[in-house]
Amino acid sequence: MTRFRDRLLVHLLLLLAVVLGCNFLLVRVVNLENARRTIDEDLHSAAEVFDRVLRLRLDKLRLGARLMSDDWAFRRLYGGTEDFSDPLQRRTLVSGLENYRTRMRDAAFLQLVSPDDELLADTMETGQTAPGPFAFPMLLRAAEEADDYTAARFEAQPDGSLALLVAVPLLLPEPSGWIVAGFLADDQLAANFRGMTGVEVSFVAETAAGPQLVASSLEPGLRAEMREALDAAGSGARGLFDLSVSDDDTWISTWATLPGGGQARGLLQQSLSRELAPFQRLEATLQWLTLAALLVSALLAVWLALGISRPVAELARGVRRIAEGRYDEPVVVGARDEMGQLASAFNGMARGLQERDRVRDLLGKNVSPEVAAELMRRPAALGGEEKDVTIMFTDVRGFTGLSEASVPADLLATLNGYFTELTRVIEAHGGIVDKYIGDAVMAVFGAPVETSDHARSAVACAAEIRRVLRAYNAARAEAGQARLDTGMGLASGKVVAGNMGSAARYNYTVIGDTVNLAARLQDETKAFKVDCVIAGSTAARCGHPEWLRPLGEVTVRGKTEAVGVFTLRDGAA
Amino acid sequence: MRRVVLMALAMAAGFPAVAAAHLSVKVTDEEGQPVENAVVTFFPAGGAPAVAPRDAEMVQSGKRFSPSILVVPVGSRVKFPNRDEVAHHVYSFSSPKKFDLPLYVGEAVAPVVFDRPGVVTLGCNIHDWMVAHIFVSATPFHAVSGTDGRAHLHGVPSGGGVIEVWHPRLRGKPVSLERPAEGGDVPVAVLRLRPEVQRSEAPSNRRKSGGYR
Repeated sequence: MTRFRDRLLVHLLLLLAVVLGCNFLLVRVVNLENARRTIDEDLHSAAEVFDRVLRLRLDKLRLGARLMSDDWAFRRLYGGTEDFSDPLQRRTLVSGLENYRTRMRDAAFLQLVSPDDELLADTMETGQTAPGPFAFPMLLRAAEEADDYTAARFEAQPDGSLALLVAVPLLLPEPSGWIVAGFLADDQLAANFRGMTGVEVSFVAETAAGPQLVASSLEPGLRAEMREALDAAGSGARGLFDLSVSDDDTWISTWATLPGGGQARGLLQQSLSRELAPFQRLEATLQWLTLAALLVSALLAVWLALGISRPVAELARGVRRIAEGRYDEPVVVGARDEMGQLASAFNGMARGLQERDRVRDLLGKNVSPEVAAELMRRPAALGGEEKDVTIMFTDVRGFTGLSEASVPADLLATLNGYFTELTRVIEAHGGIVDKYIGDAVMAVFGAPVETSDHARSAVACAAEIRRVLRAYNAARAEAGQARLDTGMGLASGKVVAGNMGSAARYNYTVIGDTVNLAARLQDETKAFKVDCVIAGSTAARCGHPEWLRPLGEVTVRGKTEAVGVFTLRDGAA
Repeated sequence: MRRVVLMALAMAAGFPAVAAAHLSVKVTDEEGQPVENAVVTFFPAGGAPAVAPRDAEMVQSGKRFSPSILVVPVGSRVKFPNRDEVAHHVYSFSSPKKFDLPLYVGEAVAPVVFDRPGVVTLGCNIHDWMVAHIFVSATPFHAVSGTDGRAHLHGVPSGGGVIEVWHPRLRGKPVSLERPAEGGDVPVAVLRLRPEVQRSEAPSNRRKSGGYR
């Protein structure tokens, strides 16, 4: 992972994936909580509706039975029945009961019970001929204890169904028996409640074998599973509890007590997965959005990375070009942002470097490379320092005659060729050409770069010049050109080296007596008839007496003291 | 469950067997509280003398029957004068006497003859709270218990016999006590009563406050 682009891409995508993942999880948790809260509220309000509606129906039933009990026609029908085993009287009684049941509408069945708990007549009876025991005496005992002499209970019927029974006294006008009215807690009733409350409703009878789902609004396919879940859960739960019929189908449930109690309860339920279904669609959408966001972010990250890495790569290439000394190709970065500013600054720097190199190059051509380097190194200011150096002056003998005999352009070419040879040799020996003065050359050894063997170098240089010029002149002679015989004067000693001139324009040069002496000694070559006169100061510093031959002493012009002078032996250095 | 505590003793111990005497019976509920309005009858061991029918009245006044319990010998004629400003519809579905007197006012209605012994429960078809009982007795020895739960029977022959106690809220059949021939304490009849049926009386138009009792 070395490329910046890849790193940026990975970091951005990781960050985004974490953010989106957290977002997704958060949405999921919130949705789940929301669904549970909604179901909680739904179940609570459903329980209230369930209770109220059941009580209303119960009250209606009770009122109906009560009115029936006080009805004169019914009193006469009941009070006039002498023998409850007589087929005709019995049929009449049941038929009359059926008539009242139709009036009451809400009652699924009506029963008449004697004070001795005998079932005298029943609208649901089929072909019975004699009174039998009433199946729910507890209901009547509860009624006797109640203030209003009535009672209501959910009771499991012999056929396994569940019914809400209401018992009211038959008043003639003292209690002379019971009217029992009831309606069935069946699938129809459960479905009606579902229609009212929006939650699933089941009626559960408490039996010795555990809770039994008697009637329900649940789809028939689901009931068997719900029965198993109920069996597993038992009936001890309070408040909300979960019933799982399968791995992905959990029903949040709550028990609802039925008015009149009895051995039955209501079970109100709402499917969590059903409640979550709309949220799941949202989650699916969110998943796709997450993927799309990741993709778009990846593209953006690549684009962003390219926007940074491409200019960086271009700048790197630019740096390499600069290192190779190619200043001509500027870095091209299209952007106007910080990278663009950097590229622009970089190009400016390249131009500056190019300018400096050009200046240095030009300087090197105008002055010696060492001087140029010294000028570059030092702060540009006037002033100098004392140094121990060797100065060499050269001059072309008979230059006046030569210049008269030549056209100026040819003369310049000749001189340039001559100077080129000399300069090469001087620089090869660590000297610098201080200046060209007409046909003369002034060279310095030991400045600006201080050396300890500047005298030896200068003497060796002179010997080399002698050899080079011999070959040079031989070639010129062959070409039929005039010889350029040269005189050389060498002197060593203290000089002041530095920038001299005005603040606006100055040269690096050296001044001092040594310079003058070298110039004078060069003049003395004619008198001594040698090509080179070397001052004793140079000879002393040279360290190679075998290279030198003493010429004696000379008092140069402008000097009072005579100095010992030497010349080069043949084959020196 | 019939936890009947019986301790009977003739108050007039030592009196001649044929002499007329006084019989007191105490009636309580299962908690020992005195029970009012219980009908106590006595059947001498030698057989009850013939009863003499009489004329009696069961008045309707203030939308109530008065008295709430009327004991008459078998064969008595009972009038049902209505002294209210509204008509009443008196009825009975009790087996000793089934009858009904459809809506009437005043005293013009014919008396009803109660010729079979037993309890006749009276109601008014248009006023549910109106309830009364006519106890048709086959013996001349009878009395109704007072607030202290005591019933005092007069002119009762001494000697053994059967005391029967009935009450409108009695569960099951009347309670029978054996009266020993010779003396003893006051017999106590313990009754198992059912709770009273709460009946709301319709508010009278004359009553400004209205509301249910």
